[in-house]
Amino acid sequence: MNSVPATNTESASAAWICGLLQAGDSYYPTGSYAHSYGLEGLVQEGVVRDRETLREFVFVSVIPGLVHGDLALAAHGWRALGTPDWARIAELARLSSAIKAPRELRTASENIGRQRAELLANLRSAPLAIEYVRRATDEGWPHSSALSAALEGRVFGAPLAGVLSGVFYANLASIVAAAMKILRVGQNAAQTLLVEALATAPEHLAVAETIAIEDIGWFNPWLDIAASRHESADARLFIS
Amino acid sequence: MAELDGHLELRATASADGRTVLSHQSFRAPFHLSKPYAHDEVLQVQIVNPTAGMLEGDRLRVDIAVEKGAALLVTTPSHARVFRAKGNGGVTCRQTLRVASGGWLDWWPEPLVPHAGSRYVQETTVDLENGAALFFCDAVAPGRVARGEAWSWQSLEMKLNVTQAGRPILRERLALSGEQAAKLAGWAGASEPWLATLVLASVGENAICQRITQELHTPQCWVGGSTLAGDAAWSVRIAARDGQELRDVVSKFRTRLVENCPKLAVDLRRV
Repeated sequence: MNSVPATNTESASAAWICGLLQAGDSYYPTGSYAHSYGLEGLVQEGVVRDRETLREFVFVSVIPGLVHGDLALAAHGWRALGTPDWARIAELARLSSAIKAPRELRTASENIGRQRAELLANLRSAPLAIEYVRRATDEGWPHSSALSAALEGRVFGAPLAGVLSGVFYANLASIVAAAMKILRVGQNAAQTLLVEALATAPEHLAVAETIAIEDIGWFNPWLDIAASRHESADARLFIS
Repeated sequence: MAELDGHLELRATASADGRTVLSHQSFRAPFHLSKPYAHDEVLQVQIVNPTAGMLEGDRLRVDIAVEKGAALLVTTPSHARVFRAKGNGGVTCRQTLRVASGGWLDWWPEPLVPHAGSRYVQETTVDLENGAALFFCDAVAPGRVARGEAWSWQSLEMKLNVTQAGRPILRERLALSGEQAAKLAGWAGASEPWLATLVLASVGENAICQRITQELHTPQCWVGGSTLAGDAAWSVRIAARDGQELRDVVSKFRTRLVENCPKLAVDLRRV
């Protein structure tokens, strides 16, 4: 039932690298471009105002949340999909939903996760992805963007580090891309921030790989409040 | 140093005449119960800690069950203090709250105050059957702010797991060093905020909770809430400027829910 076997040659690794690049591209129709993941709410509350406050948000909130949230979930999901251990996958799917208290953040992950899993099943006809989508539907699991990333990794034959790097990049890039639409932050300023944040990937990915399931979860009270208030905002650019 | 292995077990049961009684109670220091007080249909139990507070090495366990038809309010008379850890240990507190279908649990202890140098782990599990009703409040102070002491703990980890009909609907984990907490609060423009999480189940329509959070939110005191997975329960977060403001906001929240949830209309009999 498993996916394309992992290979050891550099040229063969091009297959999973290209797969992850496609799945993480803004051109890939997952709908992630329509979400700011709570940033718009924070801008509306006046907490994130410029590049400096955006930078603080990335380092004091986004990255810790990623490490103890989607990165840890993706790591456990990638391991569980190797067998595959469907009971563990179901547990992780429900946990992924439970750690996101604000409805918009939760449904963003669920909708993007569903789209990515279904795209994988439809575009690649991968048995693992088809089975994942079938079980999620039949057993009523919530979808999860982190678990779909793990699923993509397994189907493409990507190693764990590759999957986590993709999750880390995609999440940070989405926040920064959203910031450019709602703040006065230029392209170069956004890219330098992204470079600074991505430089911390090795240390954060190493931590995420070691987090036990019972220790998954992290929240920023102000982000959660802003994201909750965004649900009823009079005007908004992003879904979340 | 004397370490305490304390426990508190309570089971609230509806008697034949509809009143709530404690059908089981067991406790050991540092827990003590003051005399329960019966409001109309709600039994109020006040947990008292007769010691100065929680000390390094203390291991606390709380196990509370509310049966069908029973209504229990649990409060404390004063803040829970965690003292400095001089060695390598800390304090652990594991709390399990179970509410059966048709049961009502109102959990409103005073906030936790972590002192400078303290280490504290709290893990709370709330299991709700379908149709169980809950008002849950868990609050934490930045420290002994009146002494100019804030964000000075060594480690603080507060986990909350809520299940409804066996399915996890909320997992939150506040795990920060004092330095990390100070950075986060500074970024949010809140110097010494008092934080609280409320979890509400079967206390009114979603629109009512939404309206209340909008009414109580101000630029200085942040209040926001959202439906949890399954849309049958709510999580509300509050970031207030001080302890009094936090208490006022929670009280107002409760007052505005009374019309839909009359069991919240109890006089807590404390100053």
